[in-house]
Amino acid sequence: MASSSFGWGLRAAVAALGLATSGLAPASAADKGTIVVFVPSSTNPYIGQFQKGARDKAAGLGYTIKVIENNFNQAEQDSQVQQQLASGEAVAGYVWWPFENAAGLGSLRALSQSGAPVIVSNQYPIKGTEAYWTAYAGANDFLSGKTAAELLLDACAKAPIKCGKGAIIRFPAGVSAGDDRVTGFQDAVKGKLETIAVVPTAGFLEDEGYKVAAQIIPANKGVLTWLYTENDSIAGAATQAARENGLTPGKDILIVGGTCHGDSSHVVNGELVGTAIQSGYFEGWLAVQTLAKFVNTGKVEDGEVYVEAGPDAPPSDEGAPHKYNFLPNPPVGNSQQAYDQTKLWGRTAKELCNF
Amino acid sequence: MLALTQSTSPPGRSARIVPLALIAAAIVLLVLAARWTTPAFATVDNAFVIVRAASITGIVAIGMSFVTISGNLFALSASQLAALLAVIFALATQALGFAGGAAATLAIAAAAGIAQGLAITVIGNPIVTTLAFGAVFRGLASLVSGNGIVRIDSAAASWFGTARPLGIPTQSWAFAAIALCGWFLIRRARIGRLLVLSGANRAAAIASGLSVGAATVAAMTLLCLGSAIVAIFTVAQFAQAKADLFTGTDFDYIAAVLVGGIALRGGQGSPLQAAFGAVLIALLQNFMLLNGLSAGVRMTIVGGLVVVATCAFHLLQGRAR
Repeated sequence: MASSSFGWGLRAAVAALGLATSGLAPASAADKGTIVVFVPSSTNPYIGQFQKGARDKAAGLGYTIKVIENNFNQAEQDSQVQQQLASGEAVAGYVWWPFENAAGLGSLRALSQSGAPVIVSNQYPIKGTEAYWTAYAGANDFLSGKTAAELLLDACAKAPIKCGKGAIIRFPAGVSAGDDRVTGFQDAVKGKLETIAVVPTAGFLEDEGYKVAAQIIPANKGVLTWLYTENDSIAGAATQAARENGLTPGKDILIVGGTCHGDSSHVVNGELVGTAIQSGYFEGWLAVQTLAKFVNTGKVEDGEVYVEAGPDAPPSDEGAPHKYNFLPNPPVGNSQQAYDQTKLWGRTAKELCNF
Repeated sequence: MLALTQSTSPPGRSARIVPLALIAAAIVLLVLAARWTTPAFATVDNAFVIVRAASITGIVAIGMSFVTISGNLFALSASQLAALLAVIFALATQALGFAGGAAATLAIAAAAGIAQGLAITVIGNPIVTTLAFGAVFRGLASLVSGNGIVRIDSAAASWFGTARPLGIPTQSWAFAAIALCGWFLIRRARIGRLLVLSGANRAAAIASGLSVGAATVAAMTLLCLGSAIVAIFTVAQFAQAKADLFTGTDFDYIAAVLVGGIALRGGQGSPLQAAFGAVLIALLQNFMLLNGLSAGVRMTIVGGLVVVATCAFHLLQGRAR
């Protein structure tokens, strides 16, 4: 918390001196105003990528960007919102990635009352809050879970073992992305696979994933035929735990993370049944593009849109955004060739997954 | 003079054995209950899993026990330093190989321990000082890693992180060895005597000509070396490092020390108690996980155990004085 507070203070001091808050912003950036992005700490590489994408897109569109990080702490983020609003700074708009979706509602409402457009990102908005935000632009975690389920079901159809009972290792309790992915996954496997346990980890990375996988795999040896882990960092750790217990991933047990985030070696060597691209870079990029599209047109189309997963060209900056603008989750096969050939909006899977 | 001698004397044999006996009894009771109610619990595989789960927390908890015994309560920078050291180890291994990377990491860990120890000596508050250092360490980890994943490709590191000599993970061998070394250090070595006496009565230690500052520096250095070992093991196991590794693990280290019955006021306890505390918590976590208890319930129960253990040991230590 101290580091972020210090960072906030430093940025405020820099702003007070009239200096640019982003070294990446071009000289003309101030012409279109400042976009303020509230996000958790970029010590998480995915969030680091989100910021990079947001900065790149803002620079390209001629905006200055100011990123305010919290140290995975909603109370700190709430305080940052109050400080930002109290500064009276005129802004082009806000990008809001709450650390805790429900707990951050008060801050979201305060941002909306400022009159500036608010784009919510990463955390699927809570029903009934539509008046507090202009548009959502980011990942669809239901879709992420569904894509993972489809990869798993496809692998089950081809696998030497019969898929039956399995388990879900999910993100920590309270992380709404984890809830949504489990829901998307379970809806898709309903009647086809049996989930015997849903076990939360204490974190998002290999070390915490290994702690859980290393305990539930031996305890259910001979019973578990599949594992869904919500991202590839935890899935990679689960493959290690499986091997340590005499199981060959891809043969004796099918494992899917469903979101490329971490070491891709487990995908390309076939230990994971596949993955899907959820790009932190493009999530930040899309949030800024959505804000700019609203500023340009002054309107929002009703309903939702799944932005096309074209391999080469990124989506156009023209037109009005929809109320819900979902980042695509293109699946990636579990071979080196499939991995090398997959591209999204002009970037390779390697660029988007290994950061 | 008599009072001074009494207050700076290390605790008697019974005061040392009672906490260990209580933890051992708690472990036995928990094992029996788990064996009776949870068929998957009582297997050799699961026993290895529990010891393995206790190892990573336990190694840092052993280091933390030196800080507590020396009268400096706790350090709140252990997890952040481990994250920084993980990133440094990965970068150094890329450049120097596994041995060079490990040596560089241990050297930087020692420097971080000395710096924190000196700062605590000057500022006088270990909690505030290490909280600030923790922010510095996490920030540096973020800067050094460029908020990215630092990967390594080293066969030696991979062996170190994943091998199982005689069927036991390397982390568990290290845990056992470090616990024994820690016990020896506290009970038999001169530096251990300094830590205990500094923690037992700081004013008396100063009046006796002991360097309390040196004790603080030594305790912090030992803790940081523990963090370094855990960082090396973790990076070696997964072949990568990130700045947000070990997030939220400080409570686990402190819980192991408290459940182990090490006196909060300092001057009493042994690293073995912290090691047993880590094993007890790992047992409890495993038992709850196998029974499908939710994360909230697990957190509540472990927190409750810490509260009960802290109160019980505090009362026992009060009576033993």
